[in-house]
Amino acid sequence: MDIFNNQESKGQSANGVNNNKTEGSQSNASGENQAQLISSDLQSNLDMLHTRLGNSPDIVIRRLGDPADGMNRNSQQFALVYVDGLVNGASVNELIAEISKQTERDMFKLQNGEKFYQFLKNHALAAGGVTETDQEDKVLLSIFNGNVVVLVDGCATSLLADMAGGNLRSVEEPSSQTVIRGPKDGFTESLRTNTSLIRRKIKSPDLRIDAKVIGTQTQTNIAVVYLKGVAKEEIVQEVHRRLDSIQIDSVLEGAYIEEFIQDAKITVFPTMINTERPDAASAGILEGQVVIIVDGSPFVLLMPVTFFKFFQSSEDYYQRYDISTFLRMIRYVSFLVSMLLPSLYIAITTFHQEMLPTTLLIGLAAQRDGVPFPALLEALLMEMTFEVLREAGVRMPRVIGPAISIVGALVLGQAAVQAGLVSGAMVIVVSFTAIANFVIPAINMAIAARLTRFLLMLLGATLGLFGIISGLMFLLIHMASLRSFGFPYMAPIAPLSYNSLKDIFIRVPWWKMNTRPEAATDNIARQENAGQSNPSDHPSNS
Amino acid sequence: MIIKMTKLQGILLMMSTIAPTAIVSVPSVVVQLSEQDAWVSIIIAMVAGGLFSLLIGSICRQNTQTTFLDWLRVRLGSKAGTAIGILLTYYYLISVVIEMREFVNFIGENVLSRTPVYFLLIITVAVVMYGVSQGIVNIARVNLIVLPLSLLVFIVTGILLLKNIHIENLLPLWEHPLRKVAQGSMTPTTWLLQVSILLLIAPFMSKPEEAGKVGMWGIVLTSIELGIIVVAAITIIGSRLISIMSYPTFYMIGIIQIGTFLERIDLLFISIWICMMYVKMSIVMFATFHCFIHTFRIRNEKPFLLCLGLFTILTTMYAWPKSVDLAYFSKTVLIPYAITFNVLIPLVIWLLLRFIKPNPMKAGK
Repeated sequence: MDIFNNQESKGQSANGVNNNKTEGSQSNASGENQAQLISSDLQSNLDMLHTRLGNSPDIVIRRLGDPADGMNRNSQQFALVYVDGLVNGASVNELIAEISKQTERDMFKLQNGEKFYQFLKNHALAAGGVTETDQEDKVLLSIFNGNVVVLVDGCATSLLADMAGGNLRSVEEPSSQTVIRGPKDGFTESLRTNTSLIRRKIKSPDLRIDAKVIGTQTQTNIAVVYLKGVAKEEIVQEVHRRLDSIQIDSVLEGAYIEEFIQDAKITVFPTMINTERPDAASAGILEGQVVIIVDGSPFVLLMPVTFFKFFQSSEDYYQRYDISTFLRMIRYVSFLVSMLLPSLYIAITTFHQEMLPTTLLIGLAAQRDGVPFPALLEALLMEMTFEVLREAGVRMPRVIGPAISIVGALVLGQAAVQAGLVSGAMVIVVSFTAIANFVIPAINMAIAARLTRFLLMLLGATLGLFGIISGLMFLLIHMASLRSFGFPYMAPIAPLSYNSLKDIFIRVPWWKMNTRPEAATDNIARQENAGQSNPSDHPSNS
Repeated sequence: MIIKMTKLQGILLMMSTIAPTAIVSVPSVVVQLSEQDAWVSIIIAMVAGGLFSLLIGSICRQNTQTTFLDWLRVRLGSKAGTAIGILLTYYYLISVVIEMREFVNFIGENVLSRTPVYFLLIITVAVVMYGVSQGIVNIARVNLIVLPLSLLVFIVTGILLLKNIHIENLLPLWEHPLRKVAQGSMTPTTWLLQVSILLLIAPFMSKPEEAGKVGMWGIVLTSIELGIIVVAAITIIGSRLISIMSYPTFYMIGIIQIGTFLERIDLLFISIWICMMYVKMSIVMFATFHCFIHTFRIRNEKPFLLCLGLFTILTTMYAWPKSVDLAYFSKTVLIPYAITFNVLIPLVIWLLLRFIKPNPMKAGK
């Protein structure tokens, strides 16, 4: 029997603490397999663990109270089982010390296995999250989730004490999506830390965190976070339904899930946002979005989203609305530049030279005079060079970074122009395109622009402006047909929603932002004084 | 979640069905007949089109449940419904073929003179069929982006052309007899009658009973757009020159020049016009495909989409061996043909609906 194929959800917490990790529903359970129960004999339970776990050195089995180890023969025998590195070592030592102290004091009271078990459950382990189970599979699963399993001789039930710890990255500033003004904390690889970061920001009893386990081998913990009463109930249910339908052996990052649950299977445009900023995730939750947190990844997924969400940055809401609006315009322009500039350059220089002012045309013609390649090949050459440099920049050791930058800038830029391989204008076009691509706040949308650029370059080179316009129309039809969890991707422009326009091309002042965007919520009232003007418009100010 | 079209989307869709081809062909034809009084012809056409949209609205009001042809089949009987379906399929197919041929001819002559027409046609049909495959509501959404963008370009070019306006070109007023002016209104009326496509589109609107209003608004706004273009063309180019031009609208924009850095921006206008044409062709192609599918009760639509695309390419390529043949067809056959299908068929449907009472047994099915 597969050790992870269980779906029991008994495990009532000993001290009222509900440990979702071990009792949460497992979406991919394979049916009605009879659960293997643990024995009341400690030795046979330990033999079972040895058999099923093998001799991995990180699995620690500490048998205590054994007369063979010189202990009093009246001592109660029990064992602690955990994975070294997944639990907090200090807590385990404290637990052992506490048990030893208590058992020495009340030795005769605790000779009976059942009494000893109750003592452990109600006194020694009372502080942490404790659950019970009598199933072998649950015991094994909880060990890998950072629990310490306590097996008592004479008891056919085990205690699972949550002592998750070990070395985890602390909360640091996110490496992507940095801001000048705003919170500096970022999500980590720990799911519990991540949920706590959101809880710290939204102190509402309506904040709901639903637990799931996905991945038959990895048993990855997933949290679905939303604000009850604000998030649309049907979207929350749809997220659960799609997550439950995933059948995969492993989930190591949110991207595994993203590709499973997105609406359109074939598209270059992202239909979910990922962020490693707790403030961005919290803002999404407050607007009715559902957040999926995957244990082991600092990137969380937000849904549903519209196309225009990808051009909003956390900082838009921490800076004044005027500069935020200006920057947002810059981002839209940069997106268009990133997608269209090389193709427009190719189309105009190849097909529509009459569009250029005469002086510029002469200048360009002079530059292209010695270049042996057609404009498309020239552009592809430079684009590919840049893509190679970019990929190298991601992988190369930090110390040789500046050297590669010099090689890239001088050798491949200036020298290529001097050698007559490419024109100077093309270097400018490709460089500006590349820089514009980095302006887009969401990296997955920047990737979409990067990929469509090549398609448009080919169309521009073969059919000029007509080809580019045809390509853009194709993309527009495609984007208008996309959905993010049933919601139109191009909203609130197509279909038009006047109410949501205040945070699309412009960012209105906060005191005017009295409603939530309609994408993810029916509960749109955001401010109690919705519709009123600037609070500073008080008679005393005039 | 089934999302239907809003009233605004419907109005803009009507504008996009009529305007893209009308703004190119109407000015020269109208000015030929009524010269500086061409704007009066446009007003007459607007009134005629408005009255016609009331007729269309009264038919649409009766069906708020299902697609037009399915409803006709229930309401007028299977044979009548199928016959009307075949006629409409034929009409919209021929319309889209004409539009496509004119479109690729224009691109071939003015933008890509050395590119083979069949290549342009394949690209055009591919984009249009992709639009059709995504449905009319999706086309309406695309139009919600394209049309406002085109209006913006329209306004900006209008502002840039202000200094070239010679208002005296509109004088003397009322120089032409009403007969001549009315004759001039025939072509714009023919274009405006395309509002009959609402019969097919209304069931996709969230409030089909508002189809009459949608048609009326569509006609009024398109007529205003046409009127502005005609007046601008007369005041900028002069009625004599317009009569001998093929594309006075594009010529007008071509004369914009600001300093030495901005010239020949007609290509930019043509680019946005291409987008508008794509929307228009997608709407008419959708009508063709919709009629075809519902007339012959086809369930698996996708293969037929491909076939229809191929059939359109071949018909467009070979129906008129030369551009001259198309010009002759447009001059002689097109107007009576369009009036027959846009006016007579809706009128017959309206009369049949008045005289054939609904059968409660069939309606309940």
